[in-house]
Amino acid sequence: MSKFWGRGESDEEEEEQTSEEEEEESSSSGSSSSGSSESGSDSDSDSDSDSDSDDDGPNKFLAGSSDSDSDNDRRVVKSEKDKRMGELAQTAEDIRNKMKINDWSAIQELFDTLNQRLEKARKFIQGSQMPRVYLRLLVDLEDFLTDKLQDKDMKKKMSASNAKALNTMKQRLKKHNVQFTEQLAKIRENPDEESEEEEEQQASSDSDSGDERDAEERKQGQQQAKAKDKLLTMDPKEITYEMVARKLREIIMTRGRRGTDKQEQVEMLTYLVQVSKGPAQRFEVLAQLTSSLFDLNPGMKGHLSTGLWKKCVVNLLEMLRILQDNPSIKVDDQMDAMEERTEPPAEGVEVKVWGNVVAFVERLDDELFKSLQVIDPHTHEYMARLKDEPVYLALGTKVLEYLNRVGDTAGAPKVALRLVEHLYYKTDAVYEAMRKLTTAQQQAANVTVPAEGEEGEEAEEAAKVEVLVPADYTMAADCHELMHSLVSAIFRSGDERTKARAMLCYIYHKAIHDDFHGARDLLLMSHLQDSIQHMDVSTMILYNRAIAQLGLAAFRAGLIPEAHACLNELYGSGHIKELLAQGMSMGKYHEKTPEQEIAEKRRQMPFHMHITLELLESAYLTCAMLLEVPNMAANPLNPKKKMISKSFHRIWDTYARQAFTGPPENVRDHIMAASRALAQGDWSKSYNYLKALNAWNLLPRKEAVLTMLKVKVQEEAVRTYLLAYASQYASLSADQLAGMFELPDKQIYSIASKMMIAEELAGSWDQPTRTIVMHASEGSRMQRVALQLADKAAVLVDLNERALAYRTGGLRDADDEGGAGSSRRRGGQWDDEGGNGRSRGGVRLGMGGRGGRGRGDRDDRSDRGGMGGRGRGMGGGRGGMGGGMGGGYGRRDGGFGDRGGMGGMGGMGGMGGGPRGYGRPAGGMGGMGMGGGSMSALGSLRGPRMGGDRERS
Amino acid sequence: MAAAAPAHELSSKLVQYLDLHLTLPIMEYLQERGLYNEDDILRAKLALLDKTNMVDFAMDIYKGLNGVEEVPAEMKERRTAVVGRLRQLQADVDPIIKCLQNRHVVEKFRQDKSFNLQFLQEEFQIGPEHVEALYQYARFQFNCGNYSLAAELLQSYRTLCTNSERNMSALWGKLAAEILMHEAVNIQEAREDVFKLKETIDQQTFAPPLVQLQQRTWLLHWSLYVFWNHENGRNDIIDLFLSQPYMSAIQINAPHLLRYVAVAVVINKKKQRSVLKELIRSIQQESYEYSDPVTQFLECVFVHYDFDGAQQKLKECEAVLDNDFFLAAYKDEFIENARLFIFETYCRIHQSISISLLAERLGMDQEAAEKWIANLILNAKLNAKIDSKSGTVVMGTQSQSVHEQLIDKAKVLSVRTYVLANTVVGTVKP
Repeated sequence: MSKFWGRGESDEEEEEQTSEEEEEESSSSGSSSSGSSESGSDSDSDSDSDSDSDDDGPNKFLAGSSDSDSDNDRRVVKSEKDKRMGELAQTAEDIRNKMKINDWSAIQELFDTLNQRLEKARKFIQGSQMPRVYLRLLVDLEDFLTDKLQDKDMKKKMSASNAKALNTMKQRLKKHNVQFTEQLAKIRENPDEESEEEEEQQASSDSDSGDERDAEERKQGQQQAKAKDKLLTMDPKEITYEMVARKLREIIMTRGRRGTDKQEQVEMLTYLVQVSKGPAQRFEVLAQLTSSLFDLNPGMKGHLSTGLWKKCVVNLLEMLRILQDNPSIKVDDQMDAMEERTEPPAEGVEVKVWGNVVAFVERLDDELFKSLQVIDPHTHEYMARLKDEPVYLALGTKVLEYLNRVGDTAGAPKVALRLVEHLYYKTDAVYEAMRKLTTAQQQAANVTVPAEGEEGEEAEEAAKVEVLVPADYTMAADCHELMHSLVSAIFRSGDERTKARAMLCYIYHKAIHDDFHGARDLLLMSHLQDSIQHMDVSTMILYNRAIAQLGLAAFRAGLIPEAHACLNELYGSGHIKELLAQGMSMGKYHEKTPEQEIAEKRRQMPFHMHITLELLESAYLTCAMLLEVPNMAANPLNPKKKMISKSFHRIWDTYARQAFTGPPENVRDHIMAASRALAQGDWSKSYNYLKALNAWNLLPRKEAVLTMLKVKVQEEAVRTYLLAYASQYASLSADQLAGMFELPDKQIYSIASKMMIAEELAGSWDQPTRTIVMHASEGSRMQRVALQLADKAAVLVDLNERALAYRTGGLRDADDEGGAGSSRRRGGQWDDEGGNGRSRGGVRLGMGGRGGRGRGDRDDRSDRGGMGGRGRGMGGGRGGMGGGMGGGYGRRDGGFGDRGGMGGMGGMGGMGGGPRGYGRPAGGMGGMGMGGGSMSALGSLRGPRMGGDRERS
Repeated sequence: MAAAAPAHELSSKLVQYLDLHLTLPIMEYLQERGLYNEDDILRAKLALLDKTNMVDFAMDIYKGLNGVEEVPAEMKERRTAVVGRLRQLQADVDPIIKCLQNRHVVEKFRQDKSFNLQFLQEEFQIGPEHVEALYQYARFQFNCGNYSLAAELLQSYRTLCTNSERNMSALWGKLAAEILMHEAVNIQEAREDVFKLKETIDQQTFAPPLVQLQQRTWLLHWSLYVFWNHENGRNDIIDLFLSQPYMSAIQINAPHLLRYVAVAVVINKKKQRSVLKELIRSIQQESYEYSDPVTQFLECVFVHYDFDGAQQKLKECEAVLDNDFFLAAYKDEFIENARLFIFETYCRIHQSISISLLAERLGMDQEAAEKWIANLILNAKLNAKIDSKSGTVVMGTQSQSVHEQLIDKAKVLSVRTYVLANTVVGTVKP
């Protein structure tokens, strides 16, 4: 029969469909012969005998009789194959039937069965060639499916489960068909021939009629497909408003559903943009296109590719232009995009269209940010991406203008904030460079660069768009003014979070422009240090960044205590990288869950926004050194007593323990070497070590800072020297001191006088001889210990008094800063003694008022309590100093210290740990309270936010 | 005006926070001092009066300024308008005034304002519109420069007004009127009003912080008139200005006010000790924003211990105080006290000082200085001896020996413990 005429491949298919015994027999032989090498099931002899089976039947018969076993086997094989093929055909038939009644859930089931059967039948199929009947079914199914999908009305009528099945089917089929693309294509090429063949072959079978109908249907389907594509093929002039509108609605409907081909949609929409009628429709289509472009991005993790991003920008700019040219168009994201509209709106009539420009702009910013997070900062790609920033800024500015024009007070702050977040971290130099780049881009666009590939074209397009940006964008020569106007706009109408972020950005901006006081006042006035704990993590990071910059600004201005106060919190935690979101440090003791890690990765800052950690560390440790070294000299007995910087002490101790100290290599080594020199009063050595730090090169005004540092080092050296060695002198000549430290007489005089007034130096000037005469000799050890004892006893009495006062109601809760929350907080403090000691419950303390009472030294107390619970408190003592230090940087005076100590005091009942905020009336000045002095308030900035966050988790 | 302003002249800053009428005295003072071009001041005055109802006064100034007898027509028109409005308001307010002048009626008033209103309504058919007219009338009178009447009217109005906001503005008006009357009795009353206002501002828990801040700043400025003219003012000014919320207001809005606090602190010997530190801290904090010779002087003495510099600044202070409307009267007192400041501090850190240098520092001749010191020693203000042979003052040693310190501490301990024990016993068995 026919199989013998055809080539091997087609042979098999035909054979499979035939039901005649004889054919099958031969086919099996044929197949076995063709596939003998592969299958190996049939022996060579078999195949030989088979090959001539047609010619001489008896032979075959003989062969069969001679080897009855094998013959039997074969028969079984044959019948099984037959059966399988029959099943396949049957199922295919069923599917066709179901297709007629459009029952997709049934089709889906049957399709599964079909595939299972195919699997079973597979051993009879040689090579990758699939049974023809199967392939044909696939073709039919596909066509049918496409038809159905086009037919919206039909789809609407379908039941939900059916529609669902349809979609599932579609998706599966698509995936499924991929493996047979070639074969399917072949079938498609000459479907008629095959159907004829089949008709011939299967003239008697039932399937015949079904097949015919199927073919018809397919033809119809093809026609329909043509109709669908008409839009694409027809002359754009003929396309009407209504057609575009309908197509658009269609696309909107399918959007977001599973199994929609997003790419195809985008293409379609892109085409629609060209043929859309009237600005309103154009806008609608563009809006849809933009959101479809966003959809192309899978999930939240990945970022939108640069090309798509740029496309979006171009679209948005186009949309804005439409909006600008047609003030009658109103954008409304509440509106139903599906609304029927068949006629183009009349000229000048107000039209509402769907779209949310603000959301688009925000999304674009997010994508830009994400891509910058991901791209390796040391590549050209990163640089190229950064160059897109001006484009975004231009876009943002335009959107903002638009929003201001239409008076959208909800959206405008959001967009303004996005702009602010692109600007705030830019120093003048960077901003200037960006401006130049923008101008250059614009000029380049004017000259029209030949486009190179898609990417180049995009870039050019974007650059061209840049030219369209009104001059005011490029005109904003002054970064400050721009910031100021944006921020004040946000303050006018933004919500809380937006305002807080804008404020932080502004603080940061001021700080990097050396306006420490301005930045500090902003921070204090906004009271962000109180509320930041309740904000989201990204805002906390921003806060930390702002604080870090504030610290650096203070450092540059030579305000060492302020700088230290700012940076101490950040460094005290030892998680500086995490706090600033500039990389992740591995915690020794707690493993992070993968979710945490992902979340952390997501909030990392892009490289160009990083604050140089080395500089930060240098500045911090230098400040700590300048404060701590004289402090240690002042308290030689118990250097930990009034610790200013805990982390400095930690490093100092480690350094001191080293058996051999080599020449300094890293920042810490340098600072430690400098500290050691300073402690001995050798200022020039100390200064030289400091000067050798590389980080200073990053400072814009390096010389000025170094000069400042030099003077500071000299001053602190004098102080340290006097504190450490004064007791060895009976009198000291001012001239000698001036010579030693190369400071002018006046300064020596001033420093020594200050120390005398502060009672740090027990001496006084002898004016005629210009010497310092020492008065009191240092007491003996016995005397000093006795004094200490007296101090401790005083502390004890003090505590008793307060305990009593609390009992008798003399000390109300309100005396605590925290007011209502205080008792709870206190409870917490005793209970979690063993806790990680970092509960930032947030007692903010401005110490002050009560300092004089010498509620000093918690370490002592805890020793005494015998509970050994050494908190971190360094509290009261410093509070006592408060006045003298000119502002009590009562950072941690809130000390959650010595909980053990407190507990040990036994029955201290309601007494909270740590001094509380006496003398700091809460709330003063209605949100403007400058604290007991700005600096003390600044001192108590509650530093790193994420610390708390981490602990909680 | 500002261009020609001498250094550290605050008028232009002050007037931002003052009522139009309140600036008039300052302007007159400036005119007297001749610091500015007289014509400029007159012009400024005229511009100012233009906004008030003091048309006659404005006309006079115009004549003086332009040297003409005739005034422009619009001024005349304005005068007519003002008079017309006055008539109308008078008519409106007539019933309530009559009623209020009746002693018996006022005696029947009670604390409850709504009751009073009802009472008036029932007895005299005086409704809220009359009360409102009263307010308008008072304001008009104030604008016309008729302060005493305005103050009186506002006093009455406040007994009837139920709207707290109105009440407040009436209070402001009353304060301004009292200030402008320039009489001792009124100053006393004004002082009370200042405290009333302070209380009201502090109690406005729901007012936005910015408004509160603004009001506080006003109050601070206005109170300058009161405190510097009241005998107890220097205490009040310290109390008010250094209280927490007001200090914040100064720091945020009006750092120039630090000068007044500084002067008040320097001339107030009693309070000096306790508030000095706080003041110095504020001055230091704000030094980037505001500094003048007075604050610089304090910085020199108490921060840098630069006594030469302090001397220098003191000289500058003289000029500054002379030109200050409020402080001119206190110049001598300030200088005297400032000198004492220098000396005291100087003594604290010196063991022996040559008299000649001291004399130089204090701006006296040697003999006078010696006398001055001798007097101080006599009055037991200074623990020192004069060594006339070498021409030095030798300070007594102030340092305590460890032993003494220990004894002191132990004494304090025992006292405190005793008190504590007594209290505990007292609470245990009541």
